[in-house]
Amino acid sequence: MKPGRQLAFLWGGAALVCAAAAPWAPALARGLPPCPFRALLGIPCLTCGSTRAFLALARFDVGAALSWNPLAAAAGILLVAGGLVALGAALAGLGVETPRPTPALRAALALALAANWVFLVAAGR
Amino acid sequence: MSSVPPQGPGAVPPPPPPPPPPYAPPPAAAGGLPWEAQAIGPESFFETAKLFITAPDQAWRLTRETGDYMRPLLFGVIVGWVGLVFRAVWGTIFGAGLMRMIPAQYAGFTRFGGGSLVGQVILGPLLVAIALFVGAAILHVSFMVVGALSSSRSQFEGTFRLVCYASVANVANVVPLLGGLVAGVWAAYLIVVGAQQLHKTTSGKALFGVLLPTIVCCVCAILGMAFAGAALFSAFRH
Repeated sequence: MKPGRQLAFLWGGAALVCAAAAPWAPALARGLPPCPFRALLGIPCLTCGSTRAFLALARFDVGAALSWNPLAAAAGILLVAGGLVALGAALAGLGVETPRPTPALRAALALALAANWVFLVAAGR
Repeated sequence: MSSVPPQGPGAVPPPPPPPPPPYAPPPAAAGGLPWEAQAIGPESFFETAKLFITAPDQAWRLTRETGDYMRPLLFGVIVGWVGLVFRAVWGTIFGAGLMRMIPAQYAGFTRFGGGSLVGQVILGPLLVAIALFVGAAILHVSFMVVGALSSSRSQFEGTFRLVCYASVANVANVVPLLGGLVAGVWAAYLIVVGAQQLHKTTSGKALFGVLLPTIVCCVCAILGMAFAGAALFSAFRH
């Protein structure tokens, strides 16, 4: 089996497990402590709101997920929805390829991280 | 005798062309890792693990850049699961004592990695496989941001291989209490060494790429562990 198809199966499997684990997400999240970065410095860290975003995604509440932490919500959607598409492709005998790291993509990723943090600080997450 | 097939009515059509040969991964450098060059079994597994533990430079030089996700995944799942089992056992033995010393608001960090011993052992391989995939994805984005992939031919598969084979550091979990911390630092070192081989990048970019997710995603965890560690230290002193 070609590596691209193996990757598609792997991504699809990860998506299925995440989707299947969604009902237990609130129980898992209860074990997490409050953010020490926020407690210490008074501003949210780069990942503040991620847990609540994932919990909202587990309830299929995409709007709430994006408002808690847009980048974490986007990553969660990409993992699960992208994985299901990849699984479909793998079952059809196709594979997936990862994007080449162009300078534009690098800049976009760095900008997304920075913009996400600015949003979290401004929104007081 | 002519090789031209007979033409005209009633002639037998030429046989269809043979099917393309099945996909074969590219040849490994200098024989490749035992885990990938030999049959899967205890011997090739232990040889590969020993190579990464005792001579990581040589091990990464032998590692293929592309060609197969499944063998690296299987290797990572085995060593990751062994580490998980040891952590679960140490957690069961020492967990209650440690929990009493850690301030209540930071005890969640230890509870989050908990769960029942049986649950962790049974679901372990699945959880490790997901963690390897998601961990590789996060590390890959980080490598992209710092520009460590500009000369890479292997791209995501290379990062996935790095994460899977660096999981050999999980054997450090046989040491109680500090094993997890040692495993984390050791895995980071292995990834930095390996990234120079598999992604053809510099040690600086590889190190920055490894540290970036730690800075971005784990600031909270690091602070929390620092608080918990300070509390533990204080508890031992009194």
